[in-house]
Amino acid sequence: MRLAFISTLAELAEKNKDVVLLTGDLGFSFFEDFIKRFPGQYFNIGICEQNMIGIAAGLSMSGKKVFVYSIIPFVTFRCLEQIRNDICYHDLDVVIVGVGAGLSYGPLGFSHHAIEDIGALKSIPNITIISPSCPAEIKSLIAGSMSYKHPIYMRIGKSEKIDLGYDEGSRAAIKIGDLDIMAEGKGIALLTHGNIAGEVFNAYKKLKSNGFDPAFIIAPTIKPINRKMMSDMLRKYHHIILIEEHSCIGGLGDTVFSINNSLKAKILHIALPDRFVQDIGGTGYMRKKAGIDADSIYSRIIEFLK
Amino acid sequence: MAMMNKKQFDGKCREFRKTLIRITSESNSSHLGGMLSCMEILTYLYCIKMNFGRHNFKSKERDKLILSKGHAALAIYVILNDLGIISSKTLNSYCSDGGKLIGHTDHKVPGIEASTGSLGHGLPIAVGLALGNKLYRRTSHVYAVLGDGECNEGSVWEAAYSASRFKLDNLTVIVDYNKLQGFTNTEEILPKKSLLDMWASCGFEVIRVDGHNFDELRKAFGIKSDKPKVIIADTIKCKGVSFMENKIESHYKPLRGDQIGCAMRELS
Repeated sequence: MRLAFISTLAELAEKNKDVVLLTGDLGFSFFEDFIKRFPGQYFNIGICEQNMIGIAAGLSMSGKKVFVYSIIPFVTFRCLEQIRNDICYHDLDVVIVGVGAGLSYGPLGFSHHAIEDIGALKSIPNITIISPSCPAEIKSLIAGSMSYKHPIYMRIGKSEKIDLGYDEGSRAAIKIGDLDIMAEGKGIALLTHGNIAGEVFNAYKKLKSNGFDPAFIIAPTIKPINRKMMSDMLRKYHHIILIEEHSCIGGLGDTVFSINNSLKAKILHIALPDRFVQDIGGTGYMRKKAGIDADSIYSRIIEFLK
Repeated sequence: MAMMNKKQFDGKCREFRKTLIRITSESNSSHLGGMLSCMEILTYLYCIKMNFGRHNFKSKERDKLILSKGHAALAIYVILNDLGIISSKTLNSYCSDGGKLIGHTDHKVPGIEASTGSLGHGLPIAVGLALGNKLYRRTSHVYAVLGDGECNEGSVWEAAYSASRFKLDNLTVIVDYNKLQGFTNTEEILPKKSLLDMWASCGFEVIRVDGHNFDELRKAFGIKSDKPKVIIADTIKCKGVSFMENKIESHYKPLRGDQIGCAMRELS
């Protein structure tokens, strides 16, 4: 997913000299080509994220289209006030890209886990929060950000290969805010966002092969979400399973429950519990322990449908 | 930007001080001390030095000032009113119900570059603006006015070494060194010697002036350097109101009752 980000950014930087990339000393083995091709549009600000966001604000005020990149906790919690005051209060055209959504950095532990980032940012006015599930969505949404002109926070995975059952080139461009209906279904719908979508897709396939006919829906935008599309989905399916690699507090769940308040869909929220993840291991192992790998998702859905 | 001699300059500062006292008292608002300590600095920049005025405050080529010690905003609002950029009606609505001016800088006010209020934010923004000027090959200058207590914040130093590494000779920082901060004197938290050493170590040209002296300010702002500059301006909190000078309470309390009359007489 990092590769999708930087390769799309390179295409944009070539066409538009106002595109600049700021990094907090990260990008090893991914950014080298961008740096070589666009040296005047790249700045390693260093390990000083509060400063980096302030500089991003100043550059944006000057006329640049600024992309900021770091590992999620460093480019969110570390500089939250700067995002709020310098970027969002000024409603600046800045895209903050955080890498390592959810448990992507697995064995490196809590400081690198991103399970509260959506919650931390969601209540800040003017921010748009995007959680793409695959390289195709990243390409589409990064390209789409060029005409967006408001603050964006985008959380992406790392290097895992995400298979959502389609050819990359065949995905239609996704509009910020919209749900992406990957497959219609009957009665039940799986709703997800972010790089956990790969696990959700595997659970979807297992449900299909066991006689169920679930819809498979991705919500790349957490805020502002297309409320009409969300209500339509909640009306159409009586059992909704929302899966997110984020705390059960503050993610997409809150939005879905609030929109469902006057509707009647039964919702199962599969997310991370309200505690630091203490298991040690790779992302796959940790997802299994947390009950958000494909098999666990499948079992929990079967239980829910009984 | 205008020609002005010392007598005219001092006279202007006195008038601005009287307006600050009146408005803070009428609105029962705080921060008078920190506004009065940087009055000469801001007046010199807006009225004499900067390529900025009613004719060009939206132009891409204008000089820009970031008031990082945003709580002194009224000092700029008073100047913007004098320059004809904001109306007296707007000015007098400061901190009032249904008014147009909050108690800190707000970019929605014509003439204000950035909204500040939380200390430590302004210098990184100023660095971004100055870097932007370099990238667009604009010759305009960026000024950032910081508080001395504000220099406690780590983000100030992150921005400082960035300014140096980007060779921002188009950036001038002014530290309003009035020696008091929220609840103590600045020497207790960050001694003056360390403060001066830190700016120098971060690669700045360090210039020291009496922050209330027209001639010294003129000389300091005229110094050319290939490094970013920091002017450490020795100032007095609540300068101009003799009975409140150097008092921490001037950060919090407006003048009240007989104090107002006393102060106005001193400034006449």
